[in-house]
Parts: sequence; structure tokens; C-alpha cells
Amino acid sequence: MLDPLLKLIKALNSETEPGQMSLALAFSMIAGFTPFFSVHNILILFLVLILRVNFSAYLAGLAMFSVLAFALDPWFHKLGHFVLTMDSLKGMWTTMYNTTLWRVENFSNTIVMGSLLVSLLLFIPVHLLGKWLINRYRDTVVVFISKTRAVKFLKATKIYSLYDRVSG
Amino acid sequence: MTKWIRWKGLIAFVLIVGLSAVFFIFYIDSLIKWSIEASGTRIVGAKVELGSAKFSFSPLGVQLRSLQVTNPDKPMENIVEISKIAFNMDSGNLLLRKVIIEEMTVDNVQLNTPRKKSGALKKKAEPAPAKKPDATAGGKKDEGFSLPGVELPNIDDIMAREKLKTPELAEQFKADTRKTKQEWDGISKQLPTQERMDSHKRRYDALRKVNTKDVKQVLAALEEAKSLKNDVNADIKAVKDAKNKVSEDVKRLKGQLKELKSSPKEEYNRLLNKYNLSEGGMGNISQLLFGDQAKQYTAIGLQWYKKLSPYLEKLTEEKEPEVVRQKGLDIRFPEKNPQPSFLIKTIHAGVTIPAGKFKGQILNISTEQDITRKPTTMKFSGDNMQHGMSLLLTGRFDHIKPSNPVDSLVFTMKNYKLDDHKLINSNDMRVTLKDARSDMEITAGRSKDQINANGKIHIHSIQYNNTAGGNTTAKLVLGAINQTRDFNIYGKLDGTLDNYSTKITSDLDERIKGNFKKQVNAEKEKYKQELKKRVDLAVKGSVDKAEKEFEDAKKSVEQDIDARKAKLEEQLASVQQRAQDYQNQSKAATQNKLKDKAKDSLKKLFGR
Repeated sequence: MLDPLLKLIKALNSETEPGQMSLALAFSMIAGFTPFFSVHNILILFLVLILRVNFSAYLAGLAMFSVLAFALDPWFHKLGHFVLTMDSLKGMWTTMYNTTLWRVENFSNTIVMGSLLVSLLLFIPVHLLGKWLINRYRDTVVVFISKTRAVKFLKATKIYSLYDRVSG
Repeated sequence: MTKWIRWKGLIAFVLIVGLSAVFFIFYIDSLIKWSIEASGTRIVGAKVELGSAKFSFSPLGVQLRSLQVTNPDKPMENIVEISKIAFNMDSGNLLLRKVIIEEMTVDNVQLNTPRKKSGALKKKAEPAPAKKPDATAGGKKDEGFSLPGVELPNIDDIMAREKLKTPELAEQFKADTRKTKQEWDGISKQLPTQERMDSHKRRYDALRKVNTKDVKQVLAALEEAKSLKNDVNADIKAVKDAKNKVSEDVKRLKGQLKELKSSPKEEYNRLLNKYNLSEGGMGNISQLLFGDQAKQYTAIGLQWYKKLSPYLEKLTEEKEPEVVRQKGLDIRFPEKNPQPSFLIKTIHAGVTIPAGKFKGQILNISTEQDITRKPTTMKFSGDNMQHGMSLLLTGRFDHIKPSNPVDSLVFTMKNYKLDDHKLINSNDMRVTLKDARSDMEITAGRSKDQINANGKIHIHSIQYNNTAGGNTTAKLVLGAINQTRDFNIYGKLDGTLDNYSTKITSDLDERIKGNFKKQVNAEKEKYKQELKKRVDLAVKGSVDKAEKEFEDAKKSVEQDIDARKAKLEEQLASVQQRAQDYQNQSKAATQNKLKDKAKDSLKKLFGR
């Protein structure tokens, strides 16, 4: 449990591309918000694995968004119910409903629809916001911490140089 | 671009998906078993266990073996045990989240089988017992089987408590008899004595010695005979007067004796009236005997109906869903080829009960009959069962209009054998149908919220194995039951699923009441005889003594009077005869004398 978190901290502090990390967070939001056993989550897993995104960030984000989803489920349901019962979209939903792939996707479930809609709408903002926050973190927090005496002292010790060599 | 592609990730994806598929294939059977046990247990409220589950991909199907559903009310018993359930599913519909089963086979369904281990669930906390709806008409509390009251007072107590008047009457009678006898003795002393009758005899003998040729003597004897006759007549009158007096006394005493003799009967009637042998009402015996069982069966039946009926009903309105993780509400849209979410088109089932096997079909089980447009129907029958038993169960559950569900069930059974079926098991008595047959016909229905059921059970060819304690009433009731060889039970149920009333009636009431009355009457008769015997025994000595004293006195005085009267009458007859003779002789002598005088006068006249 702690291992992905430590890896995430390490990645945050490393030279890892911020875009890769924020994209992982955006993907994890989809997988975390929506019901886990959904067809689209297989696609998300596929994308997370094949795209060069930070897997630790994905796992940490998945845990975080899954916990968050418990609190947001009633809102997802309301949104999903609203969207699925809109008269103007009825024709589209009916067409999709009669398509096997979409039925397997279970789009007509209010929580699936609500959570998927929210996570898709927030995908780009989360990606961009994440990228910006990581950059800000590295520019301010990491720089500030690295300049503290305690860190300087720690880095000067043989133990740190030994750890740095071993961990690569 | 290649900077963003991680080709190793593809291998990882294939591995993850592949391993998941392998895991699914290897563990699908266990997953099915677990999900059936978990969901079944949740629905039933007691353990549902499955021996094994086997999933096959081609054709897509499931085979379940050894399914045991614990009876929640009897954790050491399975309410149903099924050896094998096998069915195939439509894979295309399954992808659309629709379980469509064309044909299901259910083999060897057994009811009420024993369990090796308890199937009760571990309770988290003991909830306060919910108040169950009162199932009896009028909301009467069931007080169990109570015997009707039949009071037979203890005869010893009665005899000790009650003062009998007859011995007192007998003493009074005896005193009166003695007093009367003294009077009679006084009368006897006034009657002509033997000496007087001897004197009459002497006078009579003297009359016989009269010279009949002597007219003077004859005339004197005639006078004496008349005098004797008057004396005897006077004596006879005195005797007759005495006899009349005695007769009057005897008549009076006889009247008293009659009263005395009838006194025990009056005493007995008085005691019977005072200690009235009442018989309490038998009440509604059927309700007492079968009410509990009927309530129990009804409650169980409706409990299961309520548990299962949601699986035949579609929610009539879209209720607020249970918004928990992974759940929500499935919004439905028009389909080109509408199919329900769940449908079993045909179930072939074979059921084994102790009396034999029967089989049947259930058609169109679905949660969405408004889509299938077909009601769920069933028909089970068994003909060649043990002891000539047969049964037929038909049912129709029409939920095509979810707002107006109409269900009906008809069950008929003939020659069901009842072995050692306990009717009453109380401290006072145990009534067991050792061997009996029953014919049953039950119809039940539901329309919207209203439920109703009517049933008739004819129990016949009864052989009992009954025992009763020392209680008289128990013995009487048992005797009444023993004479009842067949009876009908009628059951009626009305109301709603949550508030219904049951009423059990039976002609057993009338039959037992009739037989009970006979028993009570016989017992009463025995009791009366015993009471009569005891009263008789208590008074008979004094009455007999009084009667004997009276009879002796009466006999003595009557004999005395009759003897005197007879003798006097004999004397009177003799004297009368003698007097008549003397009168005749006197007349003849007078005629002769006149004749001679006439001859003499004629001779003188004619000078001869």
C-alpha cells in the first residue's frame, strides 16, 4: 500500500514528465469514479499500460478517486438519471440501448452514466491542472525543501549517497 | 510519438487480461456457488448451501448439485433439497444482461429433509420479537387445547354432606304403626271373646236338643234361636266395626308406607337436582385442534409467498434506488425485440415426498410479465403414489399488469396417508391418528392486495392410538373422539398479506359434541345408578323394618278379626238355620194341630 505512494512521491520529486503523471491521474479518475467492473475500464487499463504514463500515479489516483466516489455516488446517480431521462436524448439512448456493445457497457445505469460523464468532462481539466500543480510543486516545494539545512545535512551523509546509489 | 508508447505495457495488458480470464475459468464454478449461497441465504434468512456448481461455455449453461435450503424456522431441517438443477442460457441475451433460460431441469426435489448441521445464521443482535398479525378470527388469543368442563360430584362427599329424610320418615311411620297397633289391641279386647263364642255354641247346642214334637219346646227354642241370632249379629257388627276401623287405619298407614317407600326416589331426585351434572360447552374444537397448525401453515405459506413474489413482480414505479457504490438505477428504453431481464421458459421438476414421486412443469417465470405477456403457470401431478394417493397442483400467477396482480392456486390430494399424526398432546390426553386417510382440496387466490383461500380436508378411515389421564372429562372427550371415524375440516382465509384472518371449522365439532353428549349421558346414567344405590342402601333398612312392623301388626289384627268374624258368621248361619227349622216345625205343628181340630169338629158335626 505504501509502496505506490512512496513511488509516487519519488516520481513527483524525480525528473518524470509531469504530463505523464497528470494523464495517469486523469485515467485513474475515470476508473475510480465509475464502477470498477465496467467495460470501459478495460480500455483505460489498456491505455494506462500501453501509454507511457506513470503507473504509480495511476494506482494512487485510483485509490483516491474510488474513495471519493463513495461520497459522490448520489450525485452521479442524479446526474445520470437526469441525462438518461432527457427527452431530447431519448432517441440516441434508444439507439445505443439496442446496440450490444453499449448494453455491455451498461451505459443506461444512472451511476455508470453520471460518473462516466463527470470523469470525461473533468479529464482534460484534471490533466492540465495536475500538470500545472506538479510543475508548481517542483518549482516551489521541492526547491524549498532541498534548501533546508536538514536536507542538506542528510544529503551530505554517507547513508544518503549509499541510498542514492542503490536506488538509482 | 514513440516516446508516449510503452510496448512492454501491451505485454502486461495481455498478461493481466489473460490471467484474469484463466482465473475466471478456474474459479467461475466457485464464484457461482458462492453467489448462489450468498444471495440465497440473504433471501431465505437461513443457510442456503450448494454441493457443487459447474459452468460450461458451450453450450452456455450451469449445473448445480445438492442444493439445500434451510428452513429458517427449523434450522436442523431443509425446507427443500434438490439433487440437481441444470439449465442452458442464451449467450447473446446474457451479454445484454438478460438471463433467458429456455429449459431448466430440476431433479429429485425433496421437502423437509433433515440436516446434519444447523442452518441457522449467526445473529448480530437479538432484535425485539416483532408482533405477528393475529391470525385468528376476532383476534382471540389461543389458549391451547382445554377440555370442556364436566362436573361429576363425589358421591361419598354427597352422602356425607346430605341428611336423608327417609330414615326419619321411617321412624315416624313405625311410631304411628305402633300407636295404631295399640289402638287395635284395645279394639281387640272389646271384640267378642272366645268365651262368649263358646257360650253362643253352648246355647246353640242346647237348641239342638229340643224335642221337635213338642210344640211348646219348639216355640221356646225358636225364641231362643232368635235371641241367639241377635246376639251373634251384634257380635258380628262389633267385629265388622272393628274391621272397618282397622281397614281405615291400614289404608292410612299404607298411604304413609307408600310415601315412605317413594321417599328414596324423591331423595335421589332432590340430590340429582341439587348436584346438577353440568356439561360445559365444547367450544370450537376444530379451532382448538387445528387452528394452531392452520395458522402455522398459513404463516409459512404467506411468508414464502411474500419472499418469492418480488421475483414475479416488476416495480410499479421507479423508486429511489439504493445509491451505494456500483449500484444505481437501470433506465430502460424501448427495445426492438423486448426481452425480460430474467426468464425461465420451462422448468421440468420432479419432487419426492415420503408418499412417492410427482412431477410437473412451471412455465414462464419472469420478473417482467408485462414484457413476456405471459403469466407464470404451473402444474404438478402424481397418480401412482403409495397407498393409492394422488395429487394435483395447478397455479397461475398473472402479473402482466403489475398494478393488478392476480394469482390463483388449486391443490387437490386424495388418499394421503396420515401415520401417527398427533392431534392433541396435552397432559390430560394424547390423541394420535395412528392410521388415517385424507382428501384435500384447497383453492387460494390473490387479487391486488386482497388474498383469500378456502380449503376442505376430509379425514377418513381413522384408527386412533389414544390415551387419557385419570381426568373424567378427558376420558369422556376421548371416548367421544374414539367414536369419530371421519370428519371434515374447513378453512377460510381472508384479508391482505399483512393483515389476514383465518377461520377453521369442522363437522368434527358436531360429531364430537354428539358423541361427547352420549358419553356424558352414559356416565351420568352410571352416576345416577350409583347414587340411587347409595341412597337406597342408606334408607332401605329403616323402610323395610317399618314396613315389616306394619305388616305384622296388620296381619295380626286382621287375622284375629277375620277369625272371630268367620266363627261368628258360622255360628250365625247355624243359628239361623236352626231357627228356620224350628220355625218350619212350629208352623207344621200348628197346621197339624189346626188340621186335627178341623177333623174333630167335622166328626162332631156329622156324628160319626
